[in-house]
Amino acid sequence: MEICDLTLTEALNGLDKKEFSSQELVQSCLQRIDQVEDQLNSFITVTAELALKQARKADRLRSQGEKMALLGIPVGIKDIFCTKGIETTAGSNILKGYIPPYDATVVDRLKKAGAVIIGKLNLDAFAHGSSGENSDFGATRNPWNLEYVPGGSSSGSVAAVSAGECLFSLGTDTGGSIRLPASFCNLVGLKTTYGRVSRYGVIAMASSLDCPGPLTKTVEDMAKVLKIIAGPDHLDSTSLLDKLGQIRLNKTDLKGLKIGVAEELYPSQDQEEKTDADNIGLNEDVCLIVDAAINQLKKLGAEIKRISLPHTKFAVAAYYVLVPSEISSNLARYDGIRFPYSNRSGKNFWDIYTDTRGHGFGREAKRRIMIGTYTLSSGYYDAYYEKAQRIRTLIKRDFEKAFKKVHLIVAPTSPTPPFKFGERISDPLKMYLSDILTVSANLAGIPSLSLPAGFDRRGLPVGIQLMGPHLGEELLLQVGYAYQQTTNWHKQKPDLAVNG
Amino acid sequence: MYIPIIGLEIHVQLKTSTKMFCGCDAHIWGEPPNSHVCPVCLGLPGALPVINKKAVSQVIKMGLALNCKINQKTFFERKNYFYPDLPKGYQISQHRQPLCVNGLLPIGDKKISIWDVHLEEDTAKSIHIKTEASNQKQATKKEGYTLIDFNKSGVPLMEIVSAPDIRSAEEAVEYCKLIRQIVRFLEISDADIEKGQMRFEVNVSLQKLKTKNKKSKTKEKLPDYRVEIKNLNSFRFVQKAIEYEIKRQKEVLKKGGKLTWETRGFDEKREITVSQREKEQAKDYRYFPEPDLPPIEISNEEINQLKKEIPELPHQAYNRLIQTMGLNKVQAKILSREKSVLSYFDRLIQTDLEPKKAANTIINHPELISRFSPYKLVEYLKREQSGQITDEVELEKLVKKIIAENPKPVRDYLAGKTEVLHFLLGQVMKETKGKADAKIARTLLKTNLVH
Repeated sequence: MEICDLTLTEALNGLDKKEFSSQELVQSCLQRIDQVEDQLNSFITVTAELALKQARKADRLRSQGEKMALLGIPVGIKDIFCTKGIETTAGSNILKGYIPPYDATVVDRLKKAGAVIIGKLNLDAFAHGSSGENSDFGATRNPWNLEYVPGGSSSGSVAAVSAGECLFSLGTDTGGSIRLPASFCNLVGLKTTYGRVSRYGVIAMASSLDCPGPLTKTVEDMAKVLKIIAGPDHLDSTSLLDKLGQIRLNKTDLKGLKIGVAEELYPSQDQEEKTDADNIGLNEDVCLIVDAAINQLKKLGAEIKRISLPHTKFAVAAYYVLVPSEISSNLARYDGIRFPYSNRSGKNFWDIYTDTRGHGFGREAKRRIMIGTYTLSSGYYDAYYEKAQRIRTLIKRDFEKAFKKVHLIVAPTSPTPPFKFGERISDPLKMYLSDILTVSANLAGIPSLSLPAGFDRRGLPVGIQLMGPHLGEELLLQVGYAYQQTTNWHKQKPDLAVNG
Repeated sequence: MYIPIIGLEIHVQLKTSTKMFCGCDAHIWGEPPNSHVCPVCLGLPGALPVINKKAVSQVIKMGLALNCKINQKTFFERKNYFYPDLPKGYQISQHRQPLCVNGLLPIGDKKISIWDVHLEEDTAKSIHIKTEASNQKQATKKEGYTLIDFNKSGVPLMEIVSAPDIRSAEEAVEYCKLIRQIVRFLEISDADIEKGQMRFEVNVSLQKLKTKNKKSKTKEKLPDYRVEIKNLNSFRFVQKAIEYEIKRQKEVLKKGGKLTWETRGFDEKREITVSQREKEQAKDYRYFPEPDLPPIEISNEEINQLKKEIPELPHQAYNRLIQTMGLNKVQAKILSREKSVLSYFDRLIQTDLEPKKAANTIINHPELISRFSPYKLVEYLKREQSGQITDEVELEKLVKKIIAENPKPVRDYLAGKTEVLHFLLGQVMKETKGKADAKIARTLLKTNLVH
């Protein structure tokens, strides 16, 4: 166990008590990166020198009595957040060599809180994917078992934290890209309420759904990071004006709390008849683990109620119309005119466009551009985009109704534990179905917290998610905290980290 | 017999201190290339737009001035297309729910319907640099490169779309001129055409007229084609392009040819239109609601407030000048052309000056307007009426003339015979039939009688 394996909260305590310095903490992370990066490929860019410089500054400030919330803590940033002066690729060749002239609001807030940026983390190109395999910079491996995917699209963000390469990280969740990998790598991942965290400077995937959020080792860590990054931003017109209050993590029991289990997301296991939910393809081990987690919540005093979210069965279909539509527009700017990657062998600017985009984008980006261009075309707009928007409204209403009956909803984060490389990459539809349990929260715009909940028979992590009402982050964290006080799943570390 | 069916799309850059969706200074004229840019208007990854509320208010004002209905629930949309001057690959514009719809603008006895007035962002500017061909063989090919200046990118742009209610090139120009006057009266744009602040697109088609029914000329339904002429940047080009297009289309139809949906450009040197794109290649802009911007809601209070801020408009002033001031059409037209002239006139008649006299003075003596405030002008006119000429400029002209016509007395004066001044003053009085202000004339003589 090295100091890079501490939680953020533990590390802050250690720094406060002068048990170690920020420089030592960063050195420890850099050393771990040296040891494991060949196997994991979590990072696209490691900013070692810059991090050490920032760490020295943090130590100086701390010795002067400075009390910034994250002073001296090394953080890894998903390479989809713009970082001033540091190459930002979104995991795609088409942005290779691009150095943004400005920081994303969230990055700026982390810097101002004293966090030390240790590098930019790998991801599925433009966050298109559920396994990390769509990165143009090579796939990231799961620290729990290198033969398995770490989950995507925030693949580097989970692998790095799980393996101790940084103490926490930033990810983005458009359809599950924080929660799914969090569950695959035994981390806490929060998809915030849409608009709770600024999107300014986050390279857009689907603007109406993208939610930046943290990945941490514990709920306590999560609350600390959320406090820094959440809140209104005048640069993002879709950011909410509501300020995040004090998050009080003091609940040890859940008496009086009603938690819903939705038939469509987690069918009761004793049913004989087939239901709509059977196409979720729930894994047996996952069911055992989720049942145990629900029992644990019961033990803590929560009342479990079965509820229905009837329209969530259309969520994946609606999601894969809306998302490609927005993607086809958001990716139009990568045209070879203003970015380093540009193929200029052709005769005119139309050739620059087609050659640059033809070679620069990977298969998944092209697939989504094609689908989105089709669904927005005149004559198809009403049948696809407009209809998908209506489904989105219905799903939102389903949740609103449900939250009148229960405080929270619990569900598995993923229908299956981590899968092997190559298992789904050749079948896009199969890959898309990895998100079947996560996309509903995105379409409804509500917060959802994924928590470590156990391990399958092969020793791979499995997570549960708690979904809350609009702006219900505090409640999610309180319940998550209570759960973590009585479980040890989140304290387990992969052998890779333990052995170095 | 054919009737031209003409519609216009007019783009006007709005006068705001910052751009449409970012904080960049919108005063871009004459500024060094790419000096007024930021991540937002450069379309850099991750940058997000923020609505300039001033521009929204300005477009609503225009809508109100054109008697439009204001859509109180509206939103921006993305218009998707590729071009190097469009950094995001889409233009933030409006399509399904424009800010203002169904307006009406009277021109003379006629009313032109306004389909909509909406708000969007301007594109960047491409500058094509031609270079010498590297060798003889390539000399026939186009050589060169293109530079892009993003200063213009994101400047607020208002688009006014008329119904195809216009029937001649002259009427089109009259309409364009009135639109320019209105935006200037509203002070929402300088609409300086030279600076590209006002640009035009016209669509022209010809409709065959049936004359079988003697009682009334019944029209056939609108033509099934439309020719759009883009990027016209002067009133003259609007006129020339329409005239040429009417002539061209007539010739095609007379020969039994068929006209199709088409986009044409205007060759400014040859003053002809040139085909650019046919309908088969027509663009599908794949409009969809801009997810980066929340929908806009406009309250009744806001609309009422903006209504209050709208001044008398040029066509309204024109009618008032004729109907209540008794001016003739020419006078009314000249006085209602510019807000400053109109307000000068209105202040002038608040004194006891009679409107016709005031109008004539302004029209015939523009030099006096620039010299006197309305109040001083009235004083001046009174003195002039009483006979005395007190205007220094006028008297000085005369003094110079007398000096030039009397070389000998002038020489004598300069030689020291100061009494000659009386003679010269006498000449001035004689010329003005004794109406010159002697004191002023004497001073002017002295100052002008120098070596």
